[in-house]
Amino acid sequence: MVSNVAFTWSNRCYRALLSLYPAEFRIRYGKEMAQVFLDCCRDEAGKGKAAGLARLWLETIRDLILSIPRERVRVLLKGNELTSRTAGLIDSMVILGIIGFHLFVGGAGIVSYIGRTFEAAADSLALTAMAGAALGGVGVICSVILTRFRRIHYRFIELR
Amino acid sequence: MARQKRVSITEKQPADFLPLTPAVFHILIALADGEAHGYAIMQSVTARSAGSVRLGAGTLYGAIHRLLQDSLIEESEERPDPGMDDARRRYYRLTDLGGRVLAAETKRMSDLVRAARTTQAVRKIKLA
Repeated sequence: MVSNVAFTWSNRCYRALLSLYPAEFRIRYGKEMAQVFLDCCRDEAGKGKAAGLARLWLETIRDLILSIPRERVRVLLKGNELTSRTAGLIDSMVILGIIGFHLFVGGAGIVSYIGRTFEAAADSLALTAMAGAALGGVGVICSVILTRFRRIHYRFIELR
Repeated sequence: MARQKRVSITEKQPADFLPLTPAVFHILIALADGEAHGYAIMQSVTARSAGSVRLGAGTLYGAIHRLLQDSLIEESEERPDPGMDDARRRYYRLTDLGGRVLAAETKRMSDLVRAARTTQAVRKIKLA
């Protein structure tokens, strides 16, 4: 049975996650997307199974992981059309990134298992945390560089 | 004459949009029978594909955004049944160009299926 609390919190969480989309896209489609998610939640609540809501969330997370970077890149390439091929390339890169990260975590786990010592397990955990921090750091640096590049680009256009 | 030439250069032809992505093709099929809002499109796609294709809201509205920009669909001003309807919903419908693109993609795919059916490998599978 899907409780009212789960139903309400699902909608609140989804509305919060919509803020990850670019502002222009969120302003134009945010309300409609929230309405669609609400309809999907109602459908699952009508079926009366909590597993349905869990499946809906899994599908929604997968959708968010793929569509948010695609829309962000579309904003970065504003003025140029984002072709379906480019959209496919972005999806592939995101998927490869996620798979790569999981393979790395899995690999670190195997290394710690082979070592069979507490020190090795602790080392691999620390290594994984460092890799995560490094990935996050690279992401921040890339976004800062891209933002700067966009500003320079716009300034150049204004000067012309 | 010169104006006509300019128009013919700037106007996109259905072939320029092919091949369509599966999501876009499904959305155009869903709108082929009449206007619909986002959730109705989503349900139609799931029903038509027997549950094998499930569009998320992000993918759906990303595709709708592209289709609106390319003028393959347009937002409908009329509400099918204002009394029964939620005012927050927006309805979308196929444009003339969208209909021609859908027809062109359908023909392209049926030609492809016809060509595949002539191959030995497919005939063997059919017999098995």
